Amino acid sequence: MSEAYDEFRRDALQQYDTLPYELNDLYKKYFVEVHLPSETDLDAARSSGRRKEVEAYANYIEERTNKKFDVVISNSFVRNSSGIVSIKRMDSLSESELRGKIFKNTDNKLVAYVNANSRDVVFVKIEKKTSKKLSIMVINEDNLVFQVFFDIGEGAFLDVFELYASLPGTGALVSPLQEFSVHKDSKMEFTMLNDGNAQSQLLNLSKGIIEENSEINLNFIYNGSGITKSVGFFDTQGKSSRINAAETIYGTREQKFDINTYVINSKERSYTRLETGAILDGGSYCLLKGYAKVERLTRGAFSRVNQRGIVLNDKAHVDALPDMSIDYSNEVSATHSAATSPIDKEALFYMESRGIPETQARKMFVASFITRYLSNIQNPSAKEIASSVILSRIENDDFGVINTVTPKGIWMTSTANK
Amino acid sequence: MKLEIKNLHVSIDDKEVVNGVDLVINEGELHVIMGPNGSGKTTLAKAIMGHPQLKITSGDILLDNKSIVGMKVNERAKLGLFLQFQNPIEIEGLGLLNFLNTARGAITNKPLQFKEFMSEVKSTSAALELKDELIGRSLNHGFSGGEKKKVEILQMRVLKPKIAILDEPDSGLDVDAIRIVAKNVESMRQDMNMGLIVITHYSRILNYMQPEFIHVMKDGKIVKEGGKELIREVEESGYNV
Repeated sequence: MSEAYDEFRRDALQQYDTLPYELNDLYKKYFVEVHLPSETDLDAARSSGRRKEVEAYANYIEERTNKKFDVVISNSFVRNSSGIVSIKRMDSLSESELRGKIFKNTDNKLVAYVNANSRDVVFVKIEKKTSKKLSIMVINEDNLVFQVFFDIGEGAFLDVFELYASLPGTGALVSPLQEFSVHKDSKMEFTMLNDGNAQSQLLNLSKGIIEENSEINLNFIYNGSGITKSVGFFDTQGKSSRINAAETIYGTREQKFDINTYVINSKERSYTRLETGAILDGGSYCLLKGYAKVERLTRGAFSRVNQRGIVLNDKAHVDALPDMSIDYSNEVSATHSAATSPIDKEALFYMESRGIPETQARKMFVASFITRYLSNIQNPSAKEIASSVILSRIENDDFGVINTVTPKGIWMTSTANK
Repeated sequence: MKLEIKNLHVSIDDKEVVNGVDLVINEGELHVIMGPNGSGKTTLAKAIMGHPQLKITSGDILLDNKSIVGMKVNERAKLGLFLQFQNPIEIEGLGLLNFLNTARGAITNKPLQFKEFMSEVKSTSAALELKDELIGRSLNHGFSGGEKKKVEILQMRVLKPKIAILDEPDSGLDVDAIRIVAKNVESMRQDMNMGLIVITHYSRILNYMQPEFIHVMKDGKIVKEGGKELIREVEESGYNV
């Protein structure tokens, strides 16, 4: 354990003790709390001795999805067959590595918690002008807190697919802290699919810096887990850089979601677009907090935040709180919008008038809504698995169980949202 | 198949919109309902199909002498009723082909092999002069008004109803498109002996069809009935016939 890490951890713990749960004035009143395990709980989780179970479950998921994942991460089992990934212990990081972290302890109370309590760090480094693909499976068997750093070299391309699952019969927190450095003239495609079980909590913290002429295409699909809390900051720090983000939330039963994403235009001709769609049934609840910030001296910048919620019954509830701050008002295009409504009864009548029973029409409506957002995924395999997981859930009213992936969902269309 | 509407009264939010309509449509017959805006034509069409927000306060709707009032919308479609919507619904993310294949399977209980289904869809869309790329897109999403109307007719041809109600099939269509739609509908009526109700404000589409029965609807009632000659009368005197 290095001295630098000791100091870093002390600072993290101090920030965790002093920072409020939410820093943003608007969002202070509206948030969903996650239960953060104590240090003792985390220590116990890391010696759970479930290695064989986790390994077997990883193999089972690979069979079901017909996909061999490059990296599997859990508390008790780690597999890494990727040449671009190295896995280290947090307490072995050097001073410069800790100082170079994008997420600072002062950013957020939850960030401070994860910085103080992470054990494993996954480094993904893509050399200049190379093109790579990476798939990561995360299995939550008991309170898993870790970090992932993506470093995309100049002119490079990286396509990442992450699948989060829970070991059956377990319920705990999984908390990834992910940092994205997308250097000049590079591109990143990123898809994260959460299918944790009802007893699990997901705390997803992500922060990205997008340099000049670079682009990141983000897809977050929040399908599983009893509680999901996401805090993301994505900043276009280079001229003509682009952030395109799609967030999909599908909730049933008593699932709760708190999705807070900041997209920031910091430079000229930068482009940010955040599209969020939530569809809820049962007694599910969702907070959508999309925040767009356009900094000074960003001539030619484009920013758009669009939030759409659909509730399928009277008990489900979506609160959409889009916000925007524009510090430079000339030659900037910025819009934000939010709408929540019940299921469109005219659409159901239309489908039923073609002979389709109401139950099936409702399922088709849900699938069509979700497809709009999944159509942003550029990785065919990730799209297929995400579509299949969602369709299987619509059919079986279950989540946290990976069923066999079918080649194409019958209700899905490949050309939606174009 | 025979569709019979007996002294039908329909309300929306306690306001009576259709008040006492009688109509009989036998298979193979083409009926036209004309009338000014707000006369209750669309409400009548939706009531026949079973729109859940409409309340039938009295009267009856019979298919082959059996009442369908109280029957679910999809069950009416399975019996052979079809409604072409005046403003077809757009559902982004729901593929037109998948929707149509699901609907066909639901109505016939015998889904076609995909190849056979595609062949039918392609030949029908060619007859309607629909662009090929439209059939691969989301249902009506981003379609022009004319394209939506043609897609409605495409659905009708694939679903093969026994009685179809076309609610303003000509609105939003240019002259050529009106001719194409009318030709397709007429050929289907003749090939399948399908009964038809065409709701329209204008006589243009009727230049390409052979209607036998014309009904003028006003204030929720049929106020005049006759043959094709009534169309000219409406053209000359308006709806104050």
